[in-house]
Amino acid sequence: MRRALRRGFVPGLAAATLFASGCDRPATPAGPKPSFSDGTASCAAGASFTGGGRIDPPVAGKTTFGFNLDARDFCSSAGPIKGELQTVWHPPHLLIHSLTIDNNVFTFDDPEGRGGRCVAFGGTARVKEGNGSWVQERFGAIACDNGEPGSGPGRGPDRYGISLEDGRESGLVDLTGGNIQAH
Amino acid sequence: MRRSKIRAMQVVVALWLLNGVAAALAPVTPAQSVSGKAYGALVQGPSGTQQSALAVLPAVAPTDAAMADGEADALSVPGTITTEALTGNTSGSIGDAAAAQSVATVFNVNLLNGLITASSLTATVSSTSNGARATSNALGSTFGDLVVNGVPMTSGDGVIAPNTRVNLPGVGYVVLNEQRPTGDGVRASGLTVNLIHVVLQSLTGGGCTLLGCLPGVLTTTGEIIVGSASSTAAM
Repeated sequence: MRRALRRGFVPGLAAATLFASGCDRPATPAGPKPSFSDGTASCAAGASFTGGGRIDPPVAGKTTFGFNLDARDFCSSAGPIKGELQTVWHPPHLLIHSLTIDNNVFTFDDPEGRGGRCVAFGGTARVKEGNGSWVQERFGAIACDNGEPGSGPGRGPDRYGISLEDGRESGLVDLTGGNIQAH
Repeated sequence: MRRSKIRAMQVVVALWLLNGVAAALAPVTPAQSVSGKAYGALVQGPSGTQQSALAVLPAVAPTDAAMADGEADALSVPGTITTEALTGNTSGSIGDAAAAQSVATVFNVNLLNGLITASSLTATVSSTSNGARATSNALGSTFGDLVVNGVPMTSGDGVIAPNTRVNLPGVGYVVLNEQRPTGDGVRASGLTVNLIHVVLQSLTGGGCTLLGCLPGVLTTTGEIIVGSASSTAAM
């Protein structure tokens, strides 16, 4: 599974393809099939996800994030996906800020059977490391809502992960702060 | 008999009007609402206010969501603050539950010419409400290599107990991991976390005359807040 996740993160949209094989639920766009469709898009587990918080992946180190993804138009009529993502990878002082969100999304049940809902999405981002210059890269992200309050005592925890085109990735790991909401 | 009936009606009308006025004056809280705010740093003093990497969550309608974010390469107010790479983001949604979460991060913090330093600050808060239970927490809020007045407070990425106050002689005091909760815990909940909140004070007045001495009065002259995140959710 870990290998699948690591491979799935690069490039981000490939994650949807990899996860598709592990998800029995069929794609359920209510409207016309999206014209871009490569057979991986799915709104099976919802169309809107929002969250922010912190993860501490053992390999990548502390990472903080916030995002909002609205795929309701996409899921109902193949309309555009609206959204935004900001992520800070602390050890290298790496700031990632989305520029575009691809018109593709894949939502699915949490693959670890936690009873939650996940979303995989990607796009282009401006990326800056330390005091360096901004560069443009592709990114992929996965977020899972496994219940409330997300990272405290109770159900969950939620999970988040991000990867960059250059091969750097966090892995999909539990939140140590914050919350992700499928709504 | 007729006069007493009229008087009774007058009382009923007066009470009805009073009830209406009271209802109109009562604070109105939307049944479902979320709010959030995050920023890297705020400096307030006699010379004005500077705030960096501010993110304020716009109004969120039921069954909708939103996000805001801010970022800055650095903030420098000579003698007061230097920091690098400030970010803030806040997001919220209303669906089956109301939820909001905010994050602020700051690197290489130096306040008051080295009186307080930290390699990084991470403020994280989240609030949720389903109408029957509302909670907030600041899990994930940490200080990297924090040193206050020469005393190491954390080594690496560490946690400081909420509302830890440290006096800064000649300067004022600092509250570390300042936490301000709001809400009733049933329908609504909110939390603001200010990782470093310096209150700048100076002694004014006082002094001695032939008649005796009068103590001076500590007056607040400004404040510095670094790493602030807040969120509220009501259902």
